[in-house]
Amino acid sequence: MEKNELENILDELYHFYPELKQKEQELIVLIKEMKSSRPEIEFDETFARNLRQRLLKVPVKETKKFNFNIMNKKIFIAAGSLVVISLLFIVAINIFGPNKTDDNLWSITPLFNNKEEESQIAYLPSGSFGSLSDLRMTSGDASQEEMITTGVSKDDLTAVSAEGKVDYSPVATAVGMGAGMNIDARMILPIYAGFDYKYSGDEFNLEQTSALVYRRLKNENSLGRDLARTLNSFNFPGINLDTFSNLKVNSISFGEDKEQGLLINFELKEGSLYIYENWEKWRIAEREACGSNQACWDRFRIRIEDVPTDSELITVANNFLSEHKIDLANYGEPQVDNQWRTYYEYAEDKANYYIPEQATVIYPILIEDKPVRDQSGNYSGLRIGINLFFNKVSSLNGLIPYNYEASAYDLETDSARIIALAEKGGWNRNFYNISKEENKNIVELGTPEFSYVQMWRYKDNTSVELFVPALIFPVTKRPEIGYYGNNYVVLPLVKELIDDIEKEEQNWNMLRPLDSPVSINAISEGLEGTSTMPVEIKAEE
Amino acid sequence: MAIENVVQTENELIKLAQTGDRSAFAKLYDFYMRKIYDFVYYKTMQKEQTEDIVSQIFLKAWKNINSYQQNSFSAWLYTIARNTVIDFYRQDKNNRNIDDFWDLASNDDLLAKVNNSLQLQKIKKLMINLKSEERDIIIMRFWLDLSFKEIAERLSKNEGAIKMSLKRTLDKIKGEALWSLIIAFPQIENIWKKMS
Repeated sequence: MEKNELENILDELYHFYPELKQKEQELIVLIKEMKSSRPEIEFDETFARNLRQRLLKVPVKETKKFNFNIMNKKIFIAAGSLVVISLLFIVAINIFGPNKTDDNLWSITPLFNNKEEESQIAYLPSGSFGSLSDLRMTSGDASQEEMITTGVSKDDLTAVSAEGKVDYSPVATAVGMGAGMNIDARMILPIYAGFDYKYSGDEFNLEQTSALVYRRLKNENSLGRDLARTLNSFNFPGINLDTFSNLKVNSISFGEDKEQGLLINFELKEGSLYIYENWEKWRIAEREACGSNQACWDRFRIRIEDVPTDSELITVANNFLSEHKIDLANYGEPQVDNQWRTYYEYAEDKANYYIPEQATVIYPILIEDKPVRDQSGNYSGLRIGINLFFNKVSSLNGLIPYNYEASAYDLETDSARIIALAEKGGWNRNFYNISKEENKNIVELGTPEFSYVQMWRYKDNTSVELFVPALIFPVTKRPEIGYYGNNYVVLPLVKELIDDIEKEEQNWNMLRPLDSPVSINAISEGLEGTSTMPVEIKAEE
Repeated sequence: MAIENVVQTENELIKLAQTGDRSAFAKLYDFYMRKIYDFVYYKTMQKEQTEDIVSQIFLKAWKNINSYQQNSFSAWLYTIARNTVIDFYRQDKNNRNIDDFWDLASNDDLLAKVNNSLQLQKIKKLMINLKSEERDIIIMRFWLDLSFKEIAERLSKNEGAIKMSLKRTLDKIKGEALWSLIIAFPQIENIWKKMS
């Protein structure tokens, strides 16, 4: 340390605190040691250059301010119209953010979709989202409430136990129908398929004791209220909006008035955008004229040779996104949803197999570079629907801003426990294990991959979207015929969810497999004591 | 000291950056990058963490450049830096009250990896008893060689307050510091004896 530097520090201190001079030697030792203990800094010029380049690619948000108070509905109606039009642009900007391109055009490119902007994730204290147990309500294992929402009443599922006690049980989902499927009481329940999941992947260790769970922020702001206030200045025929209070605009729709035109819907409350067919513009008049002529209808069916290759479908989707300047910075590589092909391959009468008229290309959401999947293990994210009659994009959903809160939760670290539950079918088991013979119908699971699984929590008439760390076990080997289960087995890593699954697994053991198909009505009529009893239900504790 | 070059003042660059002029922001970046990097490094003591945090700081600054309305760009930038360091540590559930590396209760392994580890272990024992801002003043004055005026500007305080804070900080640590330094560096003992 140079003498001058030391003197400068001392002089500066003495200027304010002359009494320090009495302890000058002490100060000199202290200051010298503080200076000499300065760590050497490791600095990488390449990092600095790269960061500079990255920064220059990031769009900056421009501040736009609108003053609604000056509006006068009689005098400034024309100006008001302009403001409304501007506001409609602002809708897009507020939801998806501005991206000022070199063309000086506002695009709906999501500002928040730039994954480099990690500031769009707010990190909260651990456990901030409360207990995650209620997420089970939305998964494939039905709860009582879920049965009601899916149209299945307790009565539909009533069965008589071996002891003659009437009880109910989540039969519908026990056979793999899952949430959200309407179940008619006349439907025939399939026989429980006997498949054993067997883990055949590599050994793995789970050392991480906690990880972040993410909650999507919906960007709800004052925009809806501002829009409503502005629209109030117009005289809508038949009603005076001024007579309503605390109005907000919840959604805005635009429609393309042309053949194969689209409807674009901004959901302000949900912070999302949907595009779908403007139905009137996608009609096929010749098909509609077929009436009851089956041969005529068949002429309009999609045949296997009509389905474009995956790369062709992805090109169509990419071109659409590029044309409409939709940024994919926060989405992974596109994949075509080909689940129907599995069932097509199983079908004996392929000529009469119904091939979907719409193909779907999925761009998985990335959260901190990790892809998001749904509860079945399939990628979840931006979905582009392609109408195969016209080979044109006909729908888009799942375009959301990159804006999350994150909070840490404890993870399960016992890989043996995880594997054991995976072999039971994991989070969304589809088939109850009834195999009696060794090695009968083995479905093999490969080494799992870490991912986030998208979940919803429905409470108080609102939905919250959560992304939970999970392991995705791929099905690597399946029976040649008859396996209609998922391509993946999913297990959350959050400890409390694992505890719940294990608890439910114990409840599952109270079920006995069906020997033959039985209608739900038949169950409710109570075939007590017969050999065709589908399920032995023990009274819940 | 802020940017003072012959072409554009710092305020002019900020105004240009606020209109979306990337080259203007690039100049601000060029001027402040190394300063912010060094400051963050002294608060994390790890290169990789520093790079992560510095990236976030400048992304935040660029993204929010329109919200800058203060009189001092450097104060604004250092505020982002300090908050980003705090956020970085607090995202770990075990570090809810951690402001920077010096607050970490146990990091012997980490200390062993950095230069001057022996000295740092002693310094750490002193630093851990200080408030975050007091540590920032120590870092800025003794390691970044900033003047009191510059420190005051970056911490949005007046110069007198910074000097008072440094005096208190030195008062707080000097007794313990001298003893620990003597243990760590026997050669100091001679100086100590002379002083006595």
